[in-house]
Amino acid sequence: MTRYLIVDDSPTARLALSCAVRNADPGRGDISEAADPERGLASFRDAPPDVVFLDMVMDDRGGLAGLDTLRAMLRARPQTRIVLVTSLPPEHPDLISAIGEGAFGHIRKPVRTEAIRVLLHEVEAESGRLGRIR
Amino acid sequence: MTAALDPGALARLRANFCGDDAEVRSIVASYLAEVPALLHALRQAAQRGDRRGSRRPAHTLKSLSETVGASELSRLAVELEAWANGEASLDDPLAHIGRAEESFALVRPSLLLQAGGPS
Repeated sequence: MTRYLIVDDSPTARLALSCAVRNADPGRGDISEAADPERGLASFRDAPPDVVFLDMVMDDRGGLAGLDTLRAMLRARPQTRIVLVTSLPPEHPDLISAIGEGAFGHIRKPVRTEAIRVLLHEVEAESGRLGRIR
Repeated sequence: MTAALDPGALARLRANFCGDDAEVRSIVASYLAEVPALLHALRQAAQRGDRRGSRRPAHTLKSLSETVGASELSRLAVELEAWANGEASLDDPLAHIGRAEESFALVRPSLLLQAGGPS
């Protein structure tokens, strides 16, 4: 069973993403949610996920929260695949930095089940090349 | 349906999430519960002249409104986010927020119907 963690400060965004992940991976995933970066990091450490969906723009710190959270997660467990969930344009400096620092990829808001499905196949394919995630 | 709500949006929402009606209803209900706080945060930040504080509520309002097909509200939020980021100017940000509040009031009854709640 794949463990997913969704970190987003919008309850509606968490709900939509959770629905999309559940429908993309029916019956095989265990989904946890966190409403802010701090709780996201705590959940990450308590029950390390295989895949994190991380919102890039949270609270009032101007986008830094997403990048800071990404860095902390990658330091704690580099093998977790961290997917950025954002409506920022692909050329946004925060997004470019995040990919450069090791984020697995990004998906656009509003999220779509099909995009999640494609991304999970990519995660699976990479895990097959590099060895299982866990 | 009002013009402020994209007529095909909820069908697309259902298709995009490959979900059932209950999932769509729960997403719409959550949107209706969350937006007033976002608009309130936007107004408060704008009243303080705090562009940075406007950024997150404008950004979230934009993507959530796009999700449920509240296209006019999403468009207004795009403009407010650009203002909050210092990428665009607005003659009267508070009036702009007022238009966003009006747009939400327009889409709310249709969305309430979709969510299965009281009209």
